[in-house]
Amino acid sequence: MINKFLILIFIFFLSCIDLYTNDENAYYESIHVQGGGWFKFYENNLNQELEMDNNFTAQVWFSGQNDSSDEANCIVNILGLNSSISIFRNPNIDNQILVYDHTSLIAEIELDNLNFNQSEIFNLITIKRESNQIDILVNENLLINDYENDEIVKIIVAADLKNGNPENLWYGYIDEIRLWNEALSDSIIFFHNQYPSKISASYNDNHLNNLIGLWDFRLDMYQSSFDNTFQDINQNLIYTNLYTLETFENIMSENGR
Amino acid sequence: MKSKLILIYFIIFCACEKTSNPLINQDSGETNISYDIDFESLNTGMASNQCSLVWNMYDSEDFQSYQLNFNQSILFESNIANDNSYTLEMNPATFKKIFINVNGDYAYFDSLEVYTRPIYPITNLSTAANANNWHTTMYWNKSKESVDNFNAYQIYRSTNLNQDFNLIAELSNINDSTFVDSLTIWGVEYFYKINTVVNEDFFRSSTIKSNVYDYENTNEISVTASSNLIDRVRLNWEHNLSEEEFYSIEIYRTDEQFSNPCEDLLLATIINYQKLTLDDSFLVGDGITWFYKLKLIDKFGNVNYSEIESGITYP
Repeated sequence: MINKFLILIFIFFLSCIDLYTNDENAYYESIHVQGGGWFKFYENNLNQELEMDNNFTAQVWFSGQNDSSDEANCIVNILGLNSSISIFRNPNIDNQILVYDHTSLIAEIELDNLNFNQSEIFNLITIKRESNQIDILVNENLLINDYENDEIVKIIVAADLKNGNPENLWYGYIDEIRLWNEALSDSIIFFHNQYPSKISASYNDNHLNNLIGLWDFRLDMYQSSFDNTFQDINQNLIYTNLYTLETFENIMSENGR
Repeated sequence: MKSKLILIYFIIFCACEKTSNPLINQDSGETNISYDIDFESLNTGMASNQCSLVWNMYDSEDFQSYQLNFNQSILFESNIANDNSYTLEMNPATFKKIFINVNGDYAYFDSLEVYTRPIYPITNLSTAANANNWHTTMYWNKSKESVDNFNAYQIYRSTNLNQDFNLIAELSNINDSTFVDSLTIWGVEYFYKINTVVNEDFFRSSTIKSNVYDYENTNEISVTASSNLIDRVRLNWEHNLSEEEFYSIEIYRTDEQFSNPCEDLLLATIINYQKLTLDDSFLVGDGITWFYKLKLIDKFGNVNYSEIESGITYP
């Protein structure tokens, strides 16, 4: 009888490890878009698209994945009336980024520490506009410096909107999206790269006041289904909507940074 | 005791249960994708007499017609939606820019530069005069034309590059790869070339060889490639040859960043001296970087290469 009890205790012990593990992984970490999903941003309600008219910073933690298609995937599109700045991965050079404004190639950069085929390696892309000058960084690498843009713009993640239609949709994982209504300083962006799980060094940092939208897609795994509209996690009235092409699907994923 | 065991088993069962990744709510609208003509030729530059053109079928109810045009003349017109291919008969080494209209409630337009290859010439022609009797022996690699299409090798000779060449022999076997010219005068320099003649009397000359000297030149060619055009990369090149000195330009392409394009795809062979640009639309994809290298060949067979140049199709 004692032996049986010990066996049961042992089995239960193993089971508890499982429980503990499950507790640790009880949240999804990212959204896996697979060439059919893209994000748009709204304020107050889903009828009013978010428009950035002054200084701003948009940040996306993301990874790519091995994709055999011959199409450049777009991770972020900054869309104005006369400008459309789009950041693509090069489909045949795994560590190259192409930045276009409409059809003008404005940057073509290879980064040694980048590989968009590796889905478990997450990168931080930062687009900031200060005094009508746009900077684009991937991790700590400056791709675009002081690119002139003074338009009211919308932000699209994971696709390039052309004439209202999503094209060049991203394959990979969207881990976190942050929107700020200020141009973050270089030191803060550096901090974000040094500490991927943090947005500030302390609760008192001034730039936190300008964080208007934060989506970490960290959702309870036991939830049976999810809506495609995500409110800012600080309950601000700002939303992102994940759109999906017909016949495609996007799934929650445990893969995260 | 039994009920306690059942309870323990139940706890273990619950602890072992795994969750699966649920789908995001897919009811999200905005699924409108515009029609993309995707006008292309899958065999451009491969055949000497035709190009096959294909484009995406327009399968909406508002479909009206397809129309292909060249030089403002209608090549093809159809009001059948699945009639979305056409074979264009062409002469060898010909380039044509074809325009397509797809008509529905809206009209869609696209264009495509297509081309045929030249007749395959003989290659590696060598000639040497025998010092004793001045008979000139010629060797070459046979043409890659098919036996069915092959007609003859015509061997031409001249004593002056500025004068016409005279036909001295005609060989009807495609596998012939040598010839001896015995009607020679000792000490005279002769220039030779061989035409490969195929059906319908199309032909392609070889480079020229002297039976005495090797004429060496250092030529230069440079190329630029575009990054802002949808579904194509536009190549522009320059070189220092005159029309009399020019033989051909071979355009090679690869998508491998650190490899030699000349070991990958021979995209096109240009034998028209006046042609200094090409739109590469052959399976180019979107946002892909292509690497090009051009091989310039002069009339004596001297070869020079451009630097490798990259071009990108607009994403």
